[in-house]
Amino acid sequence: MNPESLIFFNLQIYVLGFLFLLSLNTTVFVGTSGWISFVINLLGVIITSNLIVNYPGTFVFEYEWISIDKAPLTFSILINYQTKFMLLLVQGIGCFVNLFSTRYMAEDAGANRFFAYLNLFVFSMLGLVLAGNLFQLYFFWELVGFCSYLLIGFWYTKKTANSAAIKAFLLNRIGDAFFLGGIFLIYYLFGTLNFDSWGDSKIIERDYIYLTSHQLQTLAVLLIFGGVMAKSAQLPLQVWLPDAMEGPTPASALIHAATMVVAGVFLLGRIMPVITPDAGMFISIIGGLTSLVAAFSALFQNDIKKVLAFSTISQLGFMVAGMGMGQLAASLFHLTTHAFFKAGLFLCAGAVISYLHHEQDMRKMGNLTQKLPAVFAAFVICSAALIGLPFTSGFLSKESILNASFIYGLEEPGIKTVVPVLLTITSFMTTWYVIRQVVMVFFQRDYTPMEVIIDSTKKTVGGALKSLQDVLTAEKKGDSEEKIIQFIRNLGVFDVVTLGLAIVSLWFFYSGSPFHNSEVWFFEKFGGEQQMYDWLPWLVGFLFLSALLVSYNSTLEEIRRYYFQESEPIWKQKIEKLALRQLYMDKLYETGFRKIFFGKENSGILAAADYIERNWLNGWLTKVSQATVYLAKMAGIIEANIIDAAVLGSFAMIKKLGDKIRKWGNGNIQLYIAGLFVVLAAIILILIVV
Amino acid sequence: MEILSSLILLPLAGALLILLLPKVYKTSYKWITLITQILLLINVFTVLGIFDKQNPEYQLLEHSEWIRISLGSKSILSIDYILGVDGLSISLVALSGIVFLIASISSFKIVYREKTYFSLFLLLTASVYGCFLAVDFFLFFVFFEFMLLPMYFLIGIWGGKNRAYASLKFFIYTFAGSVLILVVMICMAISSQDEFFSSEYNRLVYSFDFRMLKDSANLIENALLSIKNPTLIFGLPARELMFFLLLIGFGIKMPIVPFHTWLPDAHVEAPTPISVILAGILLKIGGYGVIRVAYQILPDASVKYAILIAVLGLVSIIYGALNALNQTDLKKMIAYSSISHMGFVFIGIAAFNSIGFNGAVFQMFSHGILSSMLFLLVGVIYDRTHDRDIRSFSGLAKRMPIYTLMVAVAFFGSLGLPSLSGFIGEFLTLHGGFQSDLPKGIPALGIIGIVLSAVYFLWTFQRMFFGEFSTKEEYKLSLKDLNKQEMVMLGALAILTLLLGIIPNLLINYTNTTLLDILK
Repeated sequence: MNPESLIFFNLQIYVLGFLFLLSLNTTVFVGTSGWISFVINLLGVIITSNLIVNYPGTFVFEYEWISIDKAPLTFSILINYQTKFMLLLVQGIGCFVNLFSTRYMAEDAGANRFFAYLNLFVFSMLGLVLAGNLFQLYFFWELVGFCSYLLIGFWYTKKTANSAAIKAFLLNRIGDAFFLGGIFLIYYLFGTLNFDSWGDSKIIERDYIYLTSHQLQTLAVLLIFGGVMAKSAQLPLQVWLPDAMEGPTPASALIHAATMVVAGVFLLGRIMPVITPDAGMFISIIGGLTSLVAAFSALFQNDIKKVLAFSTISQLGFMVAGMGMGQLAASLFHLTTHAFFKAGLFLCAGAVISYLHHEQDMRKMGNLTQKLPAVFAAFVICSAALIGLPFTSGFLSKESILNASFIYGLEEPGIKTVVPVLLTITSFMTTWYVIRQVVMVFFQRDYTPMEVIIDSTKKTVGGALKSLQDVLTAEKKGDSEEKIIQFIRNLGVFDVVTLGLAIVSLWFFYSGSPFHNSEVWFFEKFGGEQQMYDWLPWLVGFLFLSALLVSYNSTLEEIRRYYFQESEPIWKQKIEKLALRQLYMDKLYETGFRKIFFGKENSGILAAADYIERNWLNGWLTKVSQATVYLAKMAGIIEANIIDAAVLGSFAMIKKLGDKIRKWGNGNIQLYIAGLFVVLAAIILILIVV
Repeated sequence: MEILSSLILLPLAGALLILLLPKVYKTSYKWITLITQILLLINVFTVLGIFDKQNPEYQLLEHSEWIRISLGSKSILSIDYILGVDGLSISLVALSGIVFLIASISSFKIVYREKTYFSLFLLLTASVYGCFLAVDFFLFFVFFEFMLLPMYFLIGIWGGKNRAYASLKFFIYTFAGSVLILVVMICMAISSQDEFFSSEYNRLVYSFDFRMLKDSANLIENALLSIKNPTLIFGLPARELMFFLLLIGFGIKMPIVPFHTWLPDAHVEAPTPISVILAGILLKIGGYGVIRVAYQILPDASVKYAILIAVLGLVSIIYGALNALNQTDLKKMIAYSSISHMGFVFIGIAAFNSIGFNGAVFQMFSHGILSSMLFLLVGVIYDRTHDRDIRSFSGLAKRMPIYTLMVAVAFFGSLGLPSLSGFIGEFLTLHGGFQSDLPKGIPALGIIGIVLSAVYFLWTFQRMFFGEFSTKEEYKLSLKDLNKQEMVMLGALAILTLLLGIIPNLLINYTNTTLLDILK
């Protein structure tokens, strides 16, 4: 099929899937809806893998959408490598997560609703990835936010889930408000929103309030970055992401770890041509700070999902910093590897939570290496990738960002040097909290983890060798082979999915050489490979070893304290509180909103609006109407006492006059004649005089 | 074919029929109304079909003489019956067709004094269509004024507890507005002459034809509204004063802060179908009037005071949203959200570019559909419990899933979720405002309105629909999910808002050409 129909077919199946699943009967299709959805997702992956991008540049399909004269907005589909790998990433992880959810959500009454939302999400995400202009991207950007809202609040009878959903939506709205302003400003400067038609040369020279076009461009990029801050959880809008863990774990894996939250990074990649150096510096510093603060918070979390959430924020900081430095390839590479290993970690966490009947406190876990061997293996591999150990994808991608940051920071020492420093400290902390998590969740509480690792490695290697031997020598089924077959038979959906993601987190998907970046195909496609610092792996190795030791000891100490109910020293408690409350930012917005809207004792902006409405606008009207009534009353009084009184009075006077005159007519003829003469005399007198 | 007249005459005939039918047949009144509205919608679709989208002028014109008065031997006052549609009015005619049909279905619940109700309802229909179709200012004004009468009774008789107060407030407030428009109308008519007929009759012909009024070449020299020699009234050029009068007159109808206080009262008291009509159509006449009358006839003053219009819009957006946040009565909250959303229309029309204008018309249309939906949804819960307080409900999602779905569509449509029509309207109006010569701060602050609307809609949604199901004991039995009739009404509107949100060209193709012409 040609790419155009492939893409539309792709989009269609998810929309149809959404509508179909939503319309299914809840009780009958509880079990099957997951598998229907899985088939749709699998189909999507197959379709996308047929999409061949064999041209180096970008390719755009355009359709009429909002055909306003002189300023049309088109619906355009932009295809290049960035689109293609992102499509595969979203749909691939979507497929894994869907498979995982068939089991995880099997007993939930609203399963079909869950899968419907999942399909809607994948659709929106595909729209976002395919968008050829900023308006269209914003369109789907909000839609993915909406899906995230739906999925965080999936268990809508739970109060905390609702609050988390609203918090996520509103903080994203605030970010989107900036984003929208950025879109307007970009249009104002370039006269177009299409990704493929920007460039420095095309900027329209405008001066607006003391700002030149290029300063305005920096401003526009920063405004758009406001949207990125919300969606990709960067400081100071990151507070929604930890709360978002209230949603079902598979949704957290797909949306709040692997795909939606990286939409911001993806957007930065799309607008790379217009990012100015100043804006880039701001972005990379924010990214660095975010990664540090989030890693710091992750150190003290006790909820298995919260640790992963903060770790996601931290890694997003890496990617954003990479974008700010202009390292498109490194950043996208880390985006991809992170998506797989973080989804893997989340799904492992989901499996653990499900196994422990919705227990999320890591301090109560432990002793799981034997009970969940496959999940354990997957978790260890993904964690290794998160730390950045050799033979994993994380080693390659993280090192390439670190390397780029050193180049960026050492190029011209100054404020830019902050970035590599922040990122290096973060890598140290990352190792710390990852080791802490692995030890707390899986390892035996009575053995030392080192023994367990050595023991299980020995066993695994020995078993594998033996079974290989058995296979090679074609002897009859040995004990060990039986064991392996048994192991494979016992694999459930959870194990398959997590192991699958763990395998994708190994190096060979991305590069021929597990140690060196030069063979990573990302850099071939996107370019941007720079010199490597040879001492960097040594630095990373040193950081790893020191963090391993520190973390191992402190974690054992922590577990011991927990079991013996010992309290920690005060200074440590203070630091912990600071970390748990994200440097007091967690309630920043709630209290801020409350102060602005409600104020102290109802003196906030809402009360003001109410006051104006009641007392000024409505009061003014009431006064006018009262005045009218008063005037009417006055008019009534005037009417009754003056005008009407005058009329009636004159009537009365005439009547009185008549009465008087009537008295004269009493039949006295002499008096009549006398009167007649008087009148006659008067008339004559007048005639003479005049 | 006199199709436009049929849009006015059909409802009048229906009203007459209802008045003539004896009370014995009172069950048939609602059916007569419904059938009339269906016929009207068919006619509206016919008009949409034969309308030429590329032609910016009035189309399907119907012209006949109405009043000719000789004013002495030198001049003639001519008032004509002219109907026509252009891209601006056709969108609102289409909206009327839809909203009136929905409102007539919703009117099936009216149970007393049916005869009066349905005849007034049809009378209202006729005057609304007349208002949008009139090409003559005088005719426009007659229909504009006439609308108040049925509305007054519809709120005053079938309204809630405080209906007498609300209907009177509504009547006097809007009446005051139309007096201002009347003043402007007279001033305009005596300031310009119909050149063609003047030479024909050899006398000065004063006419009210919009097409004549908007051409500044027709202005009589040294007249009140002449551009070259402006007459000063209270130190202001007459044209600018006229513009202010129009702005207040139509601003009251719209309504724009600070002339809005009649709206929440009227909405709270009005019965559901009347609320639907009020929010769905009558408010749009304000915006329509500003574009049709103020902009076309006084373009110079309009451009000069564009900033004022934009500021009024901005104040409405934010002030309306803040007051919506204050409300605990669901219907009142929606009424204030209406004010907030109509503010976007003013920002759009203040932009004076094609994006803003199209956005404003789109926003009017979209708000017409979404607010109809919102008021119907309030009606659903009010019918069942006679309670509209947001705080008395919780966890309705479990009990009324389809209702929840519809509320979600209406709420998220209103707060501007892409793929529903509200988003396109808000985006285009603000986009237009930003690309225009207005200070950038106004549309930028308008974005705050989008955030605020998310706050109050989401808060309400969470409060009423999520959590565990709990409400007062006596409501529990009566809270059932939507019946078929409600589902048809709400479903149709939901599909419409979705369609427009995904394919905005459905509407913009109609409006674009005419609005571009008005811009010149």
